[in-house]
Amino acid sequence: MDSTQLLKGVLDLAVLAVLRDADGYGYDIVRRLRAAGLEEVGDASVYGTLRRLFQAGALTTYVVPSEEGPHRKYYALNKAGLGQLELSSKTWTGFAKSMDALVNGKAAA
Amino acid sequence: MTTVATIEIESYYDRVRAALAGLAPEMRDDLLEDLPDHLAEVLAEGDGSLRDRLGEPEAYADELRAAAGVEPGAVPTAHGVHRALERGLGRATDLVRRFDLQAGRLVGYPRLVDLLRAVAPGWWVLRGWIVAQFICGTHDRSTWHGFIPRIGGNALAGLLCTIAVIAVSVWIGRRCAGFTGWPRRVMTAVSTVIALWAVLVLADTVGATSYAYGGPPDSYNAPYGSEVSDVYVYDRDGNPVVGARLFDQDGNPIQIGSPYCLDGSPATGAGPDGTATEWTYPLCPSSTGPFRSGPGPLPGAATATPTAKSTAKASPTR
Repeated sequence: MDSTQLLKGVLDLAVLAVLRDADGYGYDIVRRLRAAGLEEVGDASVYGTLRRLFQAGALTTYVVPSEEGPHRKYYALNKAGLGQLELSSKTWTGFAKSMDALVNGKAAA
Repeated sequence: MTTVATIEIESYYDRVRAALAGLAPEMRDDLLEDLPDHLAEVLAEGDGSLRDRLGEPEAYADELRAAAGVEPGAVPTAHGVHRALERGLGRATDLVRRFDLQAGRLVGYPRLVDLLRAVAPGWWVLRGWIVAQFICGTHDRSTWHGFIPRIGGNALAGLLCTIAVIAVSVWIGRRCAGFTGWPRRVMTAVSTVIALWAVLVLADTVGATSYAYGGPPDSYNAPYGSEVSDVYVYDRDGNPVVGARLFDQDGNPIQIGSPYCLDGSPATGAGPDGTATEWTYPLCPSSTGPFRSGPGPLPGAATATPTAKSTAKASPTR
């Protein structure tokens, strides 16, 4: 089974969860997702997701000047983003429980 | 960042942008706003080219569009004039980018923008000085007091004002380094107005003050061409006036002519030893001037009253 297909549905949640721990700039978020085990996450998917979440008002941005290299645009969760994270987490937990039960042959409650 | 890396980023970015040509321009710009910086980060933090690590730009664009939730059919595509404009704008952007790279290489920087960025603090100081001149009342040549402006004739107050405004300008410059979008555009517009004002007014003024000793300001000479080397003043009756001083409507002394006479000796009317400080006309009183014995009385001057005798008339008038 192709995990990139699975990722598509949960990338928003994954990005929001990463940002809950700490603010981050684009490539830093990609790296943290990969370190968390989502090795197949695509750079363009993360960048696109960040732009979309930002457009939807779930994220705020601020620029941190860097001594060497480009200025970095950091993304941070705002209130709306936190709300979305909470809601999506609940949905995900329920969904994962059902799937787990289904796949492992334990009847759902 | 090396030039090679810059070119790699530019070309990758251009291809992603081209692959997203179907999107509405604002949407595409918004989507791509941070991409160059993002690609630079990707390139800086690992080995291999962008294509090795991110795949083909077209595939990257597809993935980006899908992740951003922008479907190609969901947005109106540009047609006709709009599309031609788009294409023209894209070509202009490419030209600017290429110029940026090539001009940068000439001055030893990856990009011209990098050089501009390096000299930006100098511009902040200059901008502060320009604004201070304006605030302290330097609005044209007649209100110019020198490189340190004055407030009510007080040079110390002018100096303090200049220092304060420069400090504010530097502070703003540092703060807006990270601006993007319209705040950045507003800053650019304001800076452009300041620079234009400086070029149009201050450069003219500074030029004129240092110029007065070398020769006359252009504006006085302009109506007569550059041939006027002296001015001869005659009264109504045709008698020559020596030691006349000329002024324009603003009370500025008219400094026209050469500080040297035709025979090469210093013009006494220009000042002692031809230092061009007095400007009394004729500049060379020893010369006979254009008439052997004056131009004769003004037509109809025969009935002139005695008081009219002192009314001098300069031969060239503005």
